[in-house]
Amino acid sequence: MAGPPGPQLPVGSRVSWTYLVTNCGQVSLSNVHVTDNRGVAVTCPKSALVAGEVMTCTGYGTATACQYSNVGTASGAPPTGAAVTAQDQSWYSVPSNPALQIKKSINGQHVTRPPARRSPSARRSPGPTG
Amino acid sequence: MTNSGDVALTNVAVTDDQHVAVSCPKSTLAAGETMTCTGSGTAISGQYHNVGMATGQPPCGSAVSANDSSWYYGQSPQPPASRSRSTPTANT
Repeated sequence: MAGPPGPQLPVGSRVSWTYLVTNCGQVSLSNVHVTDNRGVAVTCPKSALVAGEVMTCTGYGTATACQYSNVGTASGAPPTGAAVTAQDQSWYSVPSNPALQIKKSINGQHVTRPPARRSPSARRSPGPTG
Repeated sequence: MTNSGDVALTNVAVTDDQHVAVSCPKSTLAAGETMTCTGSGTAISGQYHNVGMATGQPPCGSAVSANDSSWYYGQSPQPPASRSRSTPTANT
């Protein structure tokens, strides 16, 4: 899959990962399964693949803010010898619009401008007096 | 202050340019959440102005902030309109 940022997803939306696993060797593999480095539970339709066989495994999650990536690792045991593995990484990003608002009040009163210049003929002001 | 964005903010705090100590009930705000922070002081004579600045850290990217000003005018105590004579007394 192409690198980051990957597709843009809404925060909180359901994410579906598919892991296309191919036995590209010449012998059957048993105990075939997929693990995910971010803890995604991956389900596969079977656990043995004959030579050249393909299966699609799936995992689900919920989109979290910011950039996300995870790595799926497929492994299988040949009739003899060590297990074989393969990995692939994917990415998604969740755009966000962080913002804050503040409204400052003084003695419970929200003042939007400074008091007018005080003079004997203009004793009132928009700001509170203390 | 209100988290008017679409993600949660952490390290939320309010500072005051006149060094008023501002207390907030919490330091994280979910999207859309509001809280009221408070500070107190003693009114001084004359024109006073201070600016409160709210800041918060989104899950990724730079911190966000907002500020708002307020003003008051501190009136000096008025002298009494007339003085009445009184006879001092002394404790003995």
